[in-house]
Amino acid sequence: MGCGTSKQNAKKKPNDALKAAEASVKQDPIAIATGAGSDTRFGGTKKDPKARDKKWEIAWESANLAVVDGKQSGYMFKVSGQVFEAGLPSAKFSAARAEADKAANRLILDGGISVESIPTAKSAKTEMHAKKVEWLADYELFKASGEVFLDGPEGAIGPVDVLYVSDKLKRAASSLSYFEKAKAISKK
Amino acid sequence: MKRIQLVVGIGLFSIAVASSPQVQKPIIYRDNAKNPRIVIQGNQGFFAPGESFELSGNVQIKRLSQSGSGVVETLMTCAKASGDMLKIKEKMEVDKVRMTGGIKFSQTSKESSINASGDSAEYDLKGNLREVNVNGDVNINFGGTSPKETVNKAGQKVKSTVTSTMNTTSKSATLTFKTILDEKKNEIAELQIATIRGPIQFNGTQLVKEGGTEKLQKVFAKADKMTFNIAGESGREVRLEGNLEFREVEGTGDGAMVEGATLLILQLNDKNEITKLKFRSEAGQQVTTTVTKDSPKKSGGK
Repeated sequence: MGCGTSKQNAKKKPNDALKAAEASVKQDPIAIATGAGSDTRFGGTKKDPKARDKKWEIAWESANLAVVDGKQSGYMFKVSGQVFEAGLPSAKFSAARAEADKAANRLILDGGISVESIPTAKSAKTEMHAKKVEWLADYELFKASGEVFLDGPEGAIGPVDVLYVSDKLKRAASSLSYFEKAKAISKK
Repeated sequence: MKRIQLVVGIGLFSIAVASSPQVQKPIIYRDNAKNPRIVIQGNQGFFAPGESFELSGNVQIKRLSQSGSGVVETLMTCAKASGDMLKIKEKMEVDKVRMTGGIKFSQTSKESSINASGDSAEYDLKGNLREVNVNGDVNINFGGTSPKETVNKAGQKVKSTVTSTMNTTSKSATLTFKTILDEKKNEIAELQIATIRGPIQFNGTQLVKEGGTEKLQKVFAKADKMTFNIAGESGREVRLEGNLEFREVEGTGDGAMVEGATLLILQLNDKNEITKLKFRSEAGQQVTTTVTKDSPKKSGGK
């Protein structure tokens, strides 16, 4: 099995192609072009690796999936979805392109990114704009880079080069250590 | 040979790129409220609006208020700061702020300015009061500015501003600001009381009337405690207490030195110029005034 599987075939049987790709450990690299699809990622947290919480869900209009050394990764185009904290949706996103790094529990967005917190009865939505955004599911935070700007009912933060932002876009820090500090103070 | 040169060239370019200083943008927070508006920034740190903040490196906490007479800017700068961020009446405020490293505090408006510097400081909200405590080697400058119109040699009216200042050096100071509303209901934090603890050295300007003309005379004082109050017993005043020493240093040509008083009240005008001096002493204690002109002469006190 090699590169260049036709789009039509991939559209007809994307699941079969994926299953075959997953079974092909230590086989030649595989690349598959697919049409629209969606995926939901479940997993544990750093504190509780055995948990089966929803991490993210993503839908795409087209995708290129690759299997290298049995590890699956892929680029998805025209994506939209949600990220979750403790199984509940905390923010929704859309972007021109996304990459799912399942080994690191990481979703990487780039191009035309929009991230919005889910509004609640108490608080209106906060928006985040950046050139690149990574959802680090294990830490339940976004790492945003490139002209990062956060705009919400409590004020605006940025523009700044790199920002570590909480899942609900309520806290923002210049580094991971400051983010952990903010989180600890918030819990007090 | 050309290849070696190319490799060396690329190597040098890589070193140059790697060593070029990267200018990192500060992390900045801006409140949505326009008046007053709070802007906080630093090189590193975090913001949790509605909860807390912590910053380090070139920290600036700025509060801008638009009043009928212009913008009042309150600015605090330091190396490190942390505190609470609270939303009060739809406006973000900072509270329980602890600052360290090269503290500078200033409040500047069209008419007056207050500048303070020290080694550490705290900023707290207490009802409608804002309190700033500055510690270390504290310098405070109270400035007053007023417009002045003079006529030049060509007979033209020239507009200028007259600035007078009052300087103190001390070990700690507490500046208390009261939130007031102007005629258009704009919020302004106005200095009410400044308590400065010593030993204090004070430099000010005295307005002296001589034969119908007004002259300015520089004065110097030493004390253990100083209180600047905009609504004191004599209106706008400075009270100096403990181990008092007061002297006129230059201006009119006369130089008066006062010793033995336990309390000295300096009555001020809007420009912080001293318009009246009041001395108080304990029963039995004598206030001595030494006037130096051509030759020093002594006069008994009250």
